[in-house]
Amino acid sequence: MLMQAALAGDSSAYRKFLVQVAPAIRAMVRRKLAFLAAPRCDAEDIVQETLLAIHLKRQTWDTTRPIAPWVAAIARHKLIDSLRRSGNGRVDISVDDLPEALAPAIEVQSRGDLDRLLAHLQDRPRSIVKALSTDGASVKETAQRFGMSEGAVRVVLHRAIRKLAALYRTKDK
Amino acid sequence: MKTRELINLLASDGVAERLRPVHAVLLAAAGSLVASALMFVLLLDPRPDIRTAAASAPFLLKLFLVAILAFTALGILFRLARPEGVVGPWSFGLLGSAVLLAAAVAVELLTLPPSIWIMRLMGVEPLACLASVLALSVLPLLVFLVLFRQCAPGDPPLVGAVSGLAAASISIMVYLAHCPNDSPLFVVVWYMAALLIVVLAGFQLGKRVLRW
Repeated sequence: MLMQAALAGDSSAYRKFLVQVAPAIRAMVRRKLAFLAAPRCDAEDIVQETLLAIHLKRQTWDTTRPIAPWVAAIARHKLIDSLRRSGNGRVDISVDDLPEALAPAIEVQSRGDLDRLLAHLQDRPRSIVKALSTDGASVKETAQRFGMSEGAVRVVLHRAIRKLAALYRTKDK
Repeated sequence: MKTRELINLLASDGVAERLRPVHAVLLAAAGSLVASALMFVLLLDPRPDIRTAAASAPFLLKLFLVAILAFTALGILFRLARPEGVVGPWSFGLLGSAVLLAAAVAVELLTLPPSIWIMRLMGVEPLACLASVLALSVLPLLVFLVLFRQCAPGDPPLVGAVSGLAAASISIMVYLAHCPNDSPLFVVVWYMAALLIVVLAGFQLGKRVLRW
């Protein structure tokens, strides 16, 4: 199982797992948003928040149990958080579904919740995050670009990811 | 941000949190026991008749009743520490505890003349007893909450409340070494009052600190 290999340290298995699980989460979130008549355009932000939570809490998956309920539970939790934040009062329903439908599974663009949170990071972590995410650079390449060791880049990255998750929580206040 | 970009980011982060939910609960239970024992040593003394009392039926009954509560609470927490966990059949454990307590009280009331019921209910220094249980439970509750922050509890207020139940029942088990009151009626009123306060505190704190 991909996630098991991922937890054992196989990072390409982990990447494959995330790529596979994202569309499944998206389908579930869209279904629930439609059922609740909530704005469909929020879906990808919720998918991204879910992936972030899956990443930070991946050690909470019991490897002897099926992974689907675990993923579903995290997605549900983040969906509820998102609905609570938006207060269900939004009326802007997205009409541009067609581009989403045509986009390959992980090329879907969110409305930018994570991007807004990135603004709260300091310059160095933000640049490193941009390098690793948008530019798709490897840790080694990023380390060279910033004149840091790989280990230092990893530390900054991990802290930045944790900070992003914490920022989601403060968004509620 | 495109989801692919986020995946790039996450896949680059090799640092994993280490604490698994099962271990978190075990660690919390052990930590609670140590914390309340520590508070006991600092604040209280064992009851003078501890040696004879420890072998007596009323004492062992109290211990048994509270141990079942602690066991049930931990059983529930093992499940709820995971995001997809549900309480399931463990709710019967809680029901069972309540039934046993009620039965013990009923037996006491039926076997003793009504004239001493109030005396049994009030016992020796009930408010000190309540305060002591609360004092012993504070650190244990914090231990549970701190460790659950490392997990992903699906229902934060519920996990907080059951943590309160676990913390209080473990603390009461420690407190039994001091308390001279053996009446089930006393236990139901005063111990359970303290327990309820800790459960409510856990519920409120859980809502705030167990989010992820």
